[in-house]
Parts: sequence; structure tokens; C-alpha cells
Amino acid sequence: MCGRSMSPLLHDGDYLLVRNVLQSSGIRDGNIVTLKHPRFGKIVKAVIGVTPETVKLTGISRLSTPADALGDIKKQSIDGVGVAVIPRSSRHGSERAWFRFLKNDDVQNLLARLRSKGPSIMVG
Amino acid sequence: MHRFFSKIDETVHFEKYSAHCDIPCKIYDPIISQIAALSVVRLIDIIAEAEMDMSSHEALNLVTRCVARKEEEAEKVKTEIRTIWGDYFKAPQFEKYPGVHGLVHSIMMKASACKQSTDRNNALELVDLVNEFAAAFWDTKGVSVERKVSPYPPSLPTVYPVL
Repeated sequence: MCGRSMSPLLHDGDYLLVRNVLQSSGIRDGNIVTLKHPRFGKIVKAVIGVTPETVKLTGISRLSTPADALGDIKKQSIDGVGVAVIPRSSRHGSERAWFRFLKNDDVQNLLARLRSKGPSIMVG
Repeated sequence: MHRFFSKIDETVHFEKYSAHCDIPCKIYDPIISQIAALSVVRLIDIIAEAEMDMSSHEALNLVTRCVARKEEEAEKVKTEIRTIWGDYFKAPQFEKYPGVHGLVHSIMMKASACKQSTDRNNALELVDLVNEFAAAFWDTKGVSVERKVSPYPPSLPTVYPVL
């Protein structure tokens, strides 16, 4: 993946392992998903809202495209759900190990923590 | 592990997904290129109006400055148009304006022609082409436009968004 809008969870140059979406009912809040957006092309974002037909997405960095601009996305547009990350630069003993599973709770907690601390630390 | 996947990537070419930060990059406006194109016309007019003895240092200084500035403004047109075409235009906009590639290429050629000479007709055609691009750009954003004479020399019809 490329870009910085998912920082500090994902970084430019990281590899994201995804599973195919077999049943759209399996998409949950906190999932990191890949999709083909009608306006922004192939993007990776986090799920922050799920309805039976659509999902609401966001980046993690404050500099990311706002959720409103991304719009409500049909579940069929989502082609992958992130399972794990292989960071570009790994540092053993740090949070950027050579392989890291993505957990919904961790993503939700990260979003909540960063949002509560305001924009100054959010620059990706 | 990352190096291992990089090696595979070199062969398999994994799909690349973007996590762009779009807020800082979303500010696109063709007005910069329109003003630059108008400036090219104005600089050519100043050169033509000079009618001075080119043996004087003052005249040489003026014309040299105008030519140098004309070069910069024409290059600015090219840079700004390329940026909007390359960064803002994507599949939906290309579908709406399939001729935009040809239009952008014409702008590149015409801006280069403006660098190479002081032919006012080239500069006028550059203004027209850039206006055409601006109209297409605003239409892709659902913004209507109007043609008004620029409120400064060279006082040429210019496309402005109606906001």
C-alpha cells in the first residue's frame, strides 16, 4: 500500500494481507478494508459504521479524506478485509514488528484514542 | 519478511491500494494557469510596446526581464495544467471528458510555442485552450462557469467559476 492516511496503523510501503470478502455480512466496525472507490480508485480505509447494505469508512490520520467525502460505500465494493500487516521497516521489540495481525478492537481503540487527543498528533 | 514479500512483488506485482491524505492535495484550481496564460499575452504586449533602442541598457534590461518572465509564466501554465490533469482527473472525469488528454497535450505544445517566440497569436490560443480546460474542470465539479473579460490587461475573455 502507499500513502499516509492510515498512519500510524499502516505506513507507506507496508504490505497488507487481506482475505476475500465471501459474505458482506462479515464486515465489521474496525475492519481495515480494501476497495475500489468510484472517485478515489483503489484505496484502503477503516470501517467505522455498518448498515445492512453499506459501510462508512475513514482514514486514520487527521489528514485523510473525511468520512463524508468518501460517502456511504456499498458492501459489494469491498474486495478485501485486512488480516495482517508486514511493515516496511521492522524493529524487533517495537510496535512495528515484522508481522502484525490486525484486530478490530485495536483499530477502534486507536481511532478513539487519536480522535480524543486532537489533531496535533495526527499528522501522518 | 518485508524483503521476502518485496521479492515476490517484483514478480507477481501485487495490487497497490492507496491511503492518500487528500485534504492537502485536494486544492485544485485552474485560475493559476489562466492568470499565467494571460501574463504571457501581457508580457508579449509589453515587449511589442517597448519600441526602444535596443542598444540602450534600459531597453535590454526591460526586454530581457520580459522574456525571462514569459518563460516562467508559460512553464507555470504547463506545470499547473499537468498537475490538475495528472492528480485530479481520474476515471469518472476522463469518461466525461475523453478529449482532455488531447487538450492537455495541445496546451503543452502551445505553451512551448509561447516560449519560443513573441507571436501574440500563440499566446491568445494558449489563453483559449486553458479556458477550455478550466471550463471542463469546473464542470466535473458541478460548478457552472461564466466568461468575463479579465479586469486587468490584457483584458481578454476568461472563464470564471460561478460560486
